Amino acid sequence: MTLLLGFGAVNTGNNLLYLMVSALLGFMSVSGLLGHWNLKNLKLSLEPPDEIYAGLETLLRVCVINQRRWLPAFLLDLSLNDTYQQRGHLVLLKTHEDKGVGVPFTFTDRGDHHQHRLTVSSAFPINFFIRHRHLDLQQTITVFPRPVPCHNRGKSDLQQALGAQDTPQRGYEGDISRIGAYVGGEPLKMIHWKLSARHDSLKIKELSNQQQPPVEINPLELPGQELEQQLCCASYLINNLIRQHQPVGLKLATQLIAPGVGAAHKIHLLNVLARYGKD
Amino acid sequence: MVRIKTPLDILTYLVVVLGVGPLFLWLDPSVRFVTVSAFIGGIVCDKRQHYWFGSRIATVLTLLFFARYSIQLNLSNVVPPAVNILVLLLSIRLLTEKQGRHYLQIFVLSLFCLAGSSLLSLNIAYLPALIFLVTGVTIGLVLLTFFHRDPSLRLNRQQLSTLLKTATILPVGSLILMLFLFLILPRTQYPLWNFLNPKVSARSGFSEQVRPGAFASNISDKSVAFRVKCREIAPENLYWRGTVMNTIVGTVWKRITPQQERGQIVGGQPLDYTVTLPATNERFLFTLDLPQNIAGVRHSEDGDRVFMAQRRVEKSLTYNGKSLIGGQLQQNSGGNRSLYLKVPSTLSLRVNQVAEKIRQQTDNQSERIALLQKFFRAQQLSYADTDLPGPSAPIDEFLFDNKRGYCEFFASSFAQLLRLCEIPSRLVGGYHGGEYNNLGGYYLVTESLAHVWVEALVDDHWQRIDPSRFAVNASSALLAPRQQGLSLLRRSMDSAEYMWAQVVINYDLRQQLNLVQRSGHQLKNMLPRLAALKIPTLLLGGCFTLIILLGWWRQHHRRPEYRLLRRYQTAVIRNYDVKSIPKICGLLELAVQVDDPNAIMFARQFSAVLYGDQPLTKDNIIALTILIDAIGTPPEEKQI
Repeated sequence: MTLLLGFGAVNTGNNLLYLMVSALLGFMSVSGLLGHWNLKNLKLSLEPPDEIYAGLETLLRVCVINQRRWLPAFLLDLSLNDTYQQRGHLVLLKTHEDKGVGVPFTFTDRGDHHQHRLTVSSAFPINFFIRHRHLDLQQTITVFPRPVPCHNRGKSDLQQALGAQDTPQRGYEGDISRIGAYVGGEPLKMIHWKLSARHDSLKIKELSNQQQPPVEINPLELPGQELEQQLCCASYLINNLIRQHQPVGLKLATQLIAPGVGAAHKIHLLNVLARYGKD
Repeated sequence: MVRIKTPLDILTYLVVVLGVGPLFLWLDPSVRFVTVSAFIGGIVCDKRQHYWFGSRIATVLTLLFFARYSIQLNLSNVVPPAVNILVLLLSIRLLTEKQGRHYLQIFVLSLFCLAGSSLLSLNIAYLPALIFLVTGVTIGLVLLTFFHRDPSLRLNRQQLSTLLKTATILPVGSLILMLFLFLILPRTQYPLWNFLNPKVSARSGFSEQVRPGAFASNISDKSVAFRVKCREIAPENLYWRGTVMNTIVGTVWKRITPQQERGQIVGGQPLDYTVTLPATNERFLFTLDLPQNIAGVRHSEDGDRVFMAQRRVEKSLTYNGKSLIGGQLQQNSGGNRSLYLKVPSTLSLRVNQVAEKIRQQTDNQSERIALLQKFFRAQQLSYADTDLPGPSAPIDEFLFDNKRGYCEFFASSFAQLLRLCEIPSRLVGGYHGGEYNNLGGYYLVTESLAHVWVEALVDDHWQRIDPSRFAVNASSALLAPRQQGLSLLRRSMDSAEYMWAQVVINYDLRQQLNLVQRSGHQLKNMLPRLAALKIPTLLLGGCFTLIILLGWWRQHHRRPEYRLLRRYQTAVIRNYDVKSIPKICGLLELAVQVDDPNAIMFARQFSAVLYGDQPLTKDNIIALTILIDAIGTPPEEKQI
């Protein structure tokens, strides 16, 4: 449009058309500058979630800080490693303000990822051009093997395959499994007073142990034709068993991790699996 | 919360008004009706979110309108059909459902409409329309970007205010750059499509021929003939020379370019001036009587001091002139004197008798002129624009029967009588008078001031004689209307119009080159001027500059800790109405006093940085600045 009007202005010598063309050219320049400034002085950092699995989309939190003194930032689109289809959006970021944006992303490989290319783009101020700014971040993000359900061969078979053993230990929080004689040392709350009254000796309640038996997983013995498939199976089992509060350990060729429960333990195991064979 | 569509719609309709407004009077009546209806209908449809036209009907209507006006298009009639089509397209777009690209189309069509108006009129109203239109379109495009992202987007008032404030950078920056780009954009001296520009309307006052009796009345026209920038001069000297008519055929005075006529001006006070002449479609260049020379326009100059442009004045132009006020043109001997003594054979007996009587009384030319003046006064002639003598014998009727006429009657009859008295004479056509505008320092000469007077050759000197002054009512009918002052409002408006013509309309390649040359000269002259300054002045200036620079440096290169502290104190004073902060008051003490969590956090973090081992990093400064900005803000207001 500006070119057309400019052509008309030159050929008619009409200064009013020249005024309009000048204003439009000025607008193009200022909008270019404004678009450029919109992406300047933005500090970006990556805050990955605790668990990232290869091949599964995850929401990475990108923290954006507008370090500019005067100019707010508008219509920011954030994407990771040039995957423009998966973007996080931010409508407005005032000066000196920081905001977190969830950016969906899928890592294809397990292991440690160190180099990340964050792209912040914006159509502001006018939707004719989209400007990009790339930021290379050095940050280690560990991607766990994708949990793939293993072939269910039955619990006993599986446990056997995993080298699992039943725990004969008694517990303190389950159902009453049997009545035993008080030998001393048991907590007083375990004494079954009614039965003790019928008998001459003190009887105690023996409770079953609610905890599942600990499992040691050897990935190389899991079903799967390749190591990656076995690691995926192991990742699935670790997630599944920890969710059921069953202690899980890892048995690797060079490393043995004792069974344990809890999120931190799970992360530890998955970290080991993620890096297995990558060194 | 405000939907982004609401301000976008408001801006869109404002843009339409600004784009079509300057064009409205030039549209066909039917198109005007359609435009107003579509404007109102569009608002109603947008309000109800129910549209009368679908895209198919809109397309059909567009084609019909296009066909209707495209058949009118031809080389001599391009702009009017084109602007009618543009406005009709815009009207259709207003009545249909609006998505992102439709808003864009409306903005583009509005801009084209305003551009089209510039091909129909060069009125100063274009400038405010352009400024507001650029403002509306640029901010509208920003809102459109948000609308394109999410049509249902809602912003709270604070967010919208932030957005609009930032978007204002666009029109402000664009308009500032417009001023610069306007000066440097390439121009051609002879544009190819000049036929598209506004057509020159016919002049109603000045004429290159004088034919008394041709019109029963003379209409006063207040349109601008030209403007002359100069100092104020005496009203009796305000004779603006345009042409000289030296030949009379029947009752019509015409001009024949005088051959081998040379002369020089003797006496008179020199005066320099600048004439701004609007497009006249003629070649005459007007000058203050008696002109010595003109510059700034390609022209030819005749011995009778008539200046003609090389080409017709098809666009407004500016030129400089130099005149000698009160000077007389001395005729050389080579001129054709017989040309100035020819009289038509159709003159009445009564006219001839008057001349005969004067001839018999004296042989002296000056005395004959004086007797002729006496005769004119004795006839009790009236200066009038109505009830004028008829075309059959206008001079006779004017002098003896009707005794009413305007300048053409007075000048024509006086000049013919002079010739009958054997005194060479001619008519000079131009303007007399002018309204001086103190604000702009120029004379405004309107078409109503068009005038014809006489020049008589006495002792080889051409003397100016204005026979209209011999009218009995000359002071009230001739002189008074030409010496009226302008009201303040009229002066202001005319000054703006004059500036508009000077700065915008008349800016061309020549002025562009002048600007470049002037800038070059100024740059060249700057160094010698600096060298010419005395050493103490230079030293004083240097010291002054040094002090200013030192102050600026101290302000901007203070340690960041000091700047943060000052900002913190200012924020506390501003938000908590603290009159002053004692020097002994600690950071934390002050924060606790005002009981602001952000201030307390700042005080702690700042103290840790200030008195600890950690250096003040850039991240620390940003974090502390954010805390300062949050002082006085309730926690919930921090979130968007």
